Amino acid sequence: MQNLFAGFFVSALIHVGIVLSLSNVFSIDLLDFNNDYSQPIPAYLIFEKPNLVSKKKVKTIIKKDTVVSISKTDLSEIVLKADQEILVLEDMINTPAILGEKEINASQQDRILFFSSLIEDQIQEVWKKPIASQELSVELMISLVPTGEILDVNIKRSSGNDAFDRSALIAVAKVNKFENLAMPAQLFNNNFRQFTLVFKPN
Amino acid sequence: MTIFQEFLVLLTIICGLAACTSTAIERTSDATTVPASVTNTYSEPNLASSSSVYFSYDNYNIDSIGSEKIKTLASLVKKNGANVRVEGHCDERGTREYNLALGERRANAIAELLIINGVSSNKITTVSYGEEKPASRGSNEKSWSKNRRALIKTF
Amino acid sequence: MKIFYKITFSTLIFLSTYIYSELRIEITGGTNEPIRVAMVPLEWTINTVPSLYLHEVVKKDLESFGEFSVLSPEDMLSYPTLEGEVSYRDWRLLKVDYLIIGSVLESEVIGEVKIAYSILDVSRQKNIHKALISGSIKSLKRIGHNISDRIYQKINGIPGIFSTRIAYVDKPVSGDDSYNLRITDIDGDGDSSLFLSNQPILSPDWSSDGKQLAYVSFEEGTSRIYIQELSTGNRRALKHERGINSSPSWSPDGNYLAAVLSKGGNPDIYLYNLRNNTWKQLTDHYGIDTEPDWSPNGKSLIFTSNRSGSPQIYEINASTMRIKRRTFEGTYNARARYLPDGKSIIYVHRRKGIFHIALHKLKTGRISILTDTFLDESPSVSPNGNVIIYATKDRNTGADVLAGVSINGKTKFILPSASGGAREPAWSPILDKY
Repeated sequence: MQNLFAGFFVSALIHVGIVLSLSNVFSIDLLDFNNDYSQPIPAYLIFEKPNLVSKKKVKTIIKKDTVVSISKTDLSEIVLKADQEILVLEDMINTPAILGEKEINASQQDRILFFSSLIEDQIQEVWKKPIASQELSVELMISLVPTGEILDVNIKRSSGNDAFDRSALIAVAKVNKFENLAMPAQLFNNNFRQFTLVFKPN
Repeated sequence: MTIFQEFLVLLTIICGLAACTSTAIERTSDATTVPASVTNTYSEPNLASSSSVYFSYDNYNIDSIGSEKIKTLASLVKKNGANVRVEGHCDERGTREYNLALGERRANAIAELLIINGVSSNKITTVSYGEEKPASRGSNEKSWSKNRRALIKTF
Repeated sequence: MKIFYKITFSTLIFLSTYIYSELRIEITGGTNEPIRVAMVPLEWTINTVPSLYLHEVVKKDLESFGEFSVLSPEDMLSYPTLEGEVSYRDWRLLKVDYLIIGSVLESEVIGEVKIAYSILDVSRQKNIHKALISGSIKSLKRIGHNISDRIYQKINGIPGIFSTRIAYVDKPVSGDDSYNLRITDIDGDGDSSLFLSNQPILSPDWSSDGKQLAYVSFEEGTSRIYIQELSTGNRRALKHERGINSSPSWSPDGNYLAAVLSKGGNPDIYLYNLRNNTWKQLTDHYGIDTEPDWSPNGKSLIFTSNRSGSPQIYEINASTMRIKRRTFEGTYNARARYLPDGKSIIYVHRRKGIFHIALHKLKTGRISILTDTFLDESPSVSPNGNVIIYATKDRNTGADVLAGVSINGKTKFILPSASGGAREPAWSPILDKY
């Protein structure tokens, strides 16, 4: 549960980051940093109201970035900077404009949970556990198409017991197509196009 | 490797990838058993006398009645120089091997008392039958009390 | 170049997003419906008339413990004998999970048969086991049990026990001084005598290879330990000592027998070296130490001791000789046996005056009572750890009977005994290995 929320939160932050970066906000021009900011952040792409982030704040961000001279294009440096951006973005989250995004996150959560439990139910209905499977656990990677049909199944992590692994594969084969999974495209692509099924009896 | 071997290896790999099953060769054994043939087993020699001493549950203390019996028997045996065999028995409750040990405690207690009363130790043998030879069948205290005993047999 | 870096940066962020949000759904339970198996009557291609039908042997075996539901031939829509003939749709309609097909073939060896069979996964349309099994035509039923074992193992991941046997002591109610060491198949077939005596027989114990039985016999007037080779009936006696010689337990490597001797004045655990016929003392206590059992890995033994005042279960490490008490609940815990995984033990546990069989997890100390019958004793576990057999009394007739219970407590059964005097069951190891 907590994983979903945390993952989603960070994911939202990063999405914001992508959009902002692509729209020239930080002008991540690693070869040559210039502090030339005449335009405000065109955040209208996700926000209903115009952005409330001041020019001044933007300048601060950029200043933090100019720590290192970037003659080399070091990938790890790029990622590190990405992390720094994320930390800074957290500040921005508290501004009213971005709260709208938070509300959207909460309902997404519920929807993911809802469809996950539909999937769980449909698998549980057909899974015949072998005898003596108490401490075993197998992870399957499931690929779906939006209609709910299972495109592909792969063993991501075996339990070490062939019969137990097989019982999980059979359960998936029996379901063949998950019912009632109609959902918005983005929700599907981000979560249900490919996911992990963990078979772990209590 | 020869080309043939390479081909076999390739075939095995392809088979592995295609997950085709190879035929397992299995064999069923006959598993006949033959009984042991044993001719001589113990049979009890002619008894001169047999006395019983009774015990309470899970206990090997000899009560006063028992002590009296043993005293009387001891003087008899000293006179006629008979051999004594003390058998320890238990009721059916509890596990068989543990009852073998308990039966031995009872037999030993009797033997000790006989020795105290003057019987020579080399005239005495002890054996425990645990719960294997009950005097009375039945799963109730009436039967059980009859089974918790030591038999003192003289020959 | 600017664009390049922007794209790289965005891609990396996008990728990290991707990793963070992968959904994991946990499946913690399934359906309680039994696994459905169908075995098509085998094609019989040889001249000899079948003495029995293998599909019937397999059906009876698999349905023994309530774990499977096996389709009857009358309910089948088709009768394929080759994989190519299978119409999976037919079997899916019948809700069959696994299908077994095959044929009985002529063998090059006279008096033998060969059976080609396949186990098919109906849901995924895959062959999960293809085999050729051979054996004497007289052992046709046994071949059937072997096939049941393979099916069981492929589906459950633990060995099947349909080819195993039970050794037990029989003391008929009618006969006065008649004790009989007997052996029987799990389904009650092949019940035959191994050793007949007019003196008590106790504590049969199987060697790990299933070829020998050690037991206690009073044939010489007192308790002595003997080893009998099952295929020949040949016996040998251990070097006996004064007092009790009893409770034999084979070491997993077959080189030692743990046993009880009271030559030191009280019963203690000793080890008998089968190669040089010598005894070595393992425990030394003035109390009663008895009923040893070797752990499956050969590193320790559990035994019963009353050193604390009443019988309890203790464990001794065979190399360090360190003794650890295992049971703390109740005033009578005895005759413990390890389960094949070495993680749990079963023993006789007295609660409120009634003797039950208890299952005890060594790591947690948690106990569960498995039986609710009367005067339960001598528990023995199946070699796959799934079923317990034990001796008990029929409450109505007072007869000594053997009863069984599955380790999860769900399935219970009683083995019918003609004599009314069956006790001391000992479950064989897996006898046919591949």
